[in-house]
Amino acid sequence: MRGLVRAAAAWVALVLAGCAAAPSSGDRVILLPNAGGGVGAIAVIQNDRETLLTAPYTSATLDRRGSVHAEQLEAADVRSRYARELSALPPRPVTYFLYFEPDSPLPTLASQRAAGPILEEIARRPAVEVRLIGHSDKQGEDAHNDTLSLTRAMWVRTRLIALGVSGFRIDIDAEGERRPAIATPDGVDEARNRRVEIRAR
Amino acid sequence: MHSCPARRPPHRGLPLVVALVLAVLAPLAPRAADAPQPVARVATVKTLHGPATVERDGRTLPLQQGMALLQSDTVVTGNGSTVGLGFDDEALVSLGPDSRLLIDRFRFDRTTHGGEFDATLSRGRMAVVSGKIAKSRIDAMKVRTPTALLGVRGTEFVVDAGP
Repeated sequence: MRGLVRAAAAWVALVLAGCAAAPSSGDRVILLPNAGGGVGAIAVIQNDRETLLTAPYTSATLDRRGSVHAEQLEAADVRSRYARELSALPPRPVTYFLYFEPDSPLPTLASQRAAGPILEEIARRPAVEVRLIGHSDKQGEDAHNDTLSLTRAMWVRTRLIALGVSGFRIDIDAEGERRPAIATPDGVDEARNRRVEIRAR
Repeated sequence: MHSCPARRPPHRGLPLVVALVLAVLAPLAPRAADAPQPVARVATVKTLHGPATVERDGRTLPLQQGMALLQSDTVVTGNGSTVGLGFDDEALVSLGPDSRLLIDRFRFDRTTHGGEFDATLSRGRMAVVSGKIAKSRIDAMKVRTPTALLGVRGTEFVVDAGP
């Protein structure tokens, strides 16, 4: 019985595969350099072999019979031919840090100054999603630091909402003193640990 | 195929026919089979220029900026439209005009950053900046076109289905 079901399923899969194989010629993939530097790789996978693209602006074109034609393209040609697709890519995710005064929900003067342009950039992102992760240093009680790290994240949240970001698109984590950027003994007021990590995408 | 269960005794025949029909239809209705799973956002529509739609559960909905996309959605752009999507693993995907992209499978573990991402571009053009899934394991991200199967190894690229 199980064999019968399997045979029937295989037959359905075969028919579906037949339907999906619409006639098309010359599908193409072009490898781009990574925006952050370097270049990755794309494997064009076929039944018995694979063709690996590893150099920027190399292209592989596949015809209907499955033969692969690889060639080197000019960067400018690729950028102009695919300008619409490349400009429609959403902005890349970013991570920022703001630092806070000891045992205080307020950022340091330097971070208050930095916050303006950072938060404005985030608010301008299309359909932005933000994750705020509040932290404290290891001075004070755990419970106090949990609340403090939450209050710091809320300072950032309030400003993002004032800039027009929907509260529904902001997630908050309060880590207290549990995840220090710099490991210290308990009770140490390390400035680099009093922070809010802002991840926007 | 329909004549096979006829050899069974009558009192067992009906459940067997039902079971066989369900087993054969199951792959055609993955959503019904996966019903206990919660509906999870896999991507967000970040940019949208011109009209575009999403096909979901046999219905066609207009695409909107900020809209959540789900596994098994098909995004279709109109003549002159473009769409930019941000996936949960931080992969970015854009579609050019007259394009059609099916999110076959998207599973991402936020803790381990592992998962699987399979998509099919059956028409048009897409640009991709791969995310954490592609970095987690070789060929964890795959893109299909009518003639090609691509294994993505942590990178940026464009795909053109039948230029």
